[in-house]
Amino acid sequence: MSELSEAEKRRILRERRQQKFSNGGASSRLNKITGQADSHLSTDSPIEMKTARSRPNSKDTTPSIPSSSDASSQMKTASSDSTSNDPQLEILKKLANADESNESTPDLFSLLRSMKSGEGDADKSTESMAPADQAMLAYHDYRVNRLKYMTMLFKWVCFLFPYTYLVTRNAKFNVSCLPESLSFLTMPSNFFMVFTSFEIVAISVYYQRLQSIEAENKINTLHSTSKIVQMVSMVPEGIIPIPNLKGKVVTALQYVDVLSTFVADICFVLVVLGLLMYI
Amino acid sequence: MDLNVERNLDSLIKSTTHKWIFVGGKGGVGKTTSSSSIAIQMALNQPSKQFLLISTDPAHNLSDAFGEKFGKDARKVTGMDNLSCMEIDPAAALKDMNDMAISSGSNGNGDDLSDLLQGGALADLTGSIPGIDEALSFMEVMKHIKRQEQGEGERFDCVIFDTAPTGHTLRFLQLPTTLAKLLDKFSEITGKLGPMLNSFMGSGNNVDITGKLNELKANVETIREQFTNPDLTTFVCVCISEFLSLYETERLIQELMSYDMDVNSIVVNQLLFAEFDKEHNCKRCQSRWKMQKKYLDQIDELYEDFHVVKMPLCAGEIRGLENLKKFSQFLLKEYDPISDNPVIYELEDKN
Repeated sequence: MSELSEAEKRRILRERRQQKFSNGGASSRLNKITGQADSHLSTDSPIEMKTARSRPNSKDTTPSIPSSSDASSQMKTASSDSTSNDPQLEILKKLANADESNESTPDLFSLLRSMKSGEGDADKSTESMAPADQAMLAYHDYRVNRLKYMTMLFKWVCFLFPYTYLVTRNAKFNVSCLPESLSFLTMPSNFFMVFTSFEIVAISVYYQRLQSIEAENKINTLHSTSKIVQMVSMVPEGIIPIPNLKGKVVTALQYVDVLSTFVADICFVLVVLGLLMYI
Repeated sequence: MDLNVERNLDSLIKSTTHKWIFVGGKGGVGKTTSSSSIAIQMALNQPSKQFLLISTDPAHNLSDAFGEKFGKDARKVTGMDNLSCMEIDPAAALKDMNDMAISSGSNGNGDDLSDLLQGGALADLTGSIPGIDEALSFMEVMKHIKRQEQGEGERFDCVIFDTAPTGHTLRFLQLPTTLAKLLDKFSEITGKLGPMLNSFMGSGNNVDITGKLNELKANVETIREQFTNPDLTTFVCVCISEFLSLYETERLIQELMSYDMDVNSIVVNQLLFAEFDKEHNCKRCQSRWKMQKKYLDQIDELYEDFHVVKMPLCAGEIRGLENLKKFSQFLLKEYDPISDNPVIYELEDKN
């Protein structure tokens, strides 16, 4: 093996030294020094502190002006690092990407919506979704609708219709064939209490099942399908003096959903009562 | 592959590439003695080259170490043809600036401003700015680079810095990076407001602000490049074999590495080597040497890839060229506590 030159030897030794100070080596060296003397001096390594400082804004430390290709690659890296740290920058990036892909310039609302869609997995708007996501969303819709209608059918056929029938029969014929406890439940004066209790239980069971479907499919139904939520998503944070507007709208829509189920059941009971009056 | 690191500074002293050598460490560990020793050995081993030893420590003791007065201008050490010394004096430099301002003011109509400066207002004002010592040291470096580029005045092949204690030195070494960032921002502003700034600030004087800034930026960038080039610049850490000194040395090395500066040499001063000195082996020396050995072992373990030079504690003060020459030989040839023991008693006590 040929003899190493002095410069080569210096370079290898330098690399060896840097190796020892990297990957947490710097602070462990300080720990070693302070540990032996039982000292309370700081063991935070200047090297590691500098690395930690420069990591979040590593772009700023680059003194040279990047070329256009560098700039675009930096943009891509930045966008993958943080989805929307700077809303204005995000809009510009979207515009730049649209220009690259020869698409027509998107309107402001769709830009705002796509910016907002980056906030969470469940936030993705249907327009910006991949075909596989759209198929998944359609499947999720099918499962939710099936649950909704099956629950409704079960409630109406298996409970509300027979119960309403029994209540009206109890009032009309005053039969004593029912047990004492059941006759208490079928008393017309207790109808609203029993109906409300049943609704609470049924709605709770329905929402538990809905949540398990959402968890299975990893899709939030209201976020993905509600047009109102999508419209609210377009409103940038801070424009309206209501914090977390979207969250509040989602909660309100959930209450509306519960209320509409309740109202639909009352309507059904009223229709059944009307029909039974003529039987 | 032979990658053993010599326990001396032979490679540095005989280096023909290094232009800037910084010598630093905690206060009172022997920085001036070490930097003077390095400068002397370099000058002796490379007689065809010119060396300059600059003290950037506001509390100068270079003059005391050599036993002759040095000022703000480089002056040759008596008895050496290729070694000059200078002490950067912030107060004197600021006074010069003040005087220049007065003279330029008196060329005009002698207004209120020059009256104010007659009392040394500029020197007082700027002298109180934190970090002014480092800034002036930096200006000195820039001056030398400019001279070398233009071939003006006395040229030096290598400049050795006897630096101030660690904190000052780190601020000084951070200056190129900080200035580069600052000038980048300035360039952005002047790029936009350049013509307006030029007309405001340079009215009547034909001063091209943008041009000046670009020139300054280029100079700072040159310094930054040179300071981070391991073939041109290196840092020699000086310490003593005690806990606080070792801790500060480790932090200094890590700081320097974070600035991408090369550091590969450590001078451990004031070692007693008591067990080898049968004649003067007192109990206090023994227990102190025991403590020193404990930290020396740690130094050997932590810095196996560094040039660790172990220097003895001498009987007298190391002052004057002759004493420095005798002492500095151990930078080249490792100190042998048995055969070299008489040397530490030979040093003449200047006091």
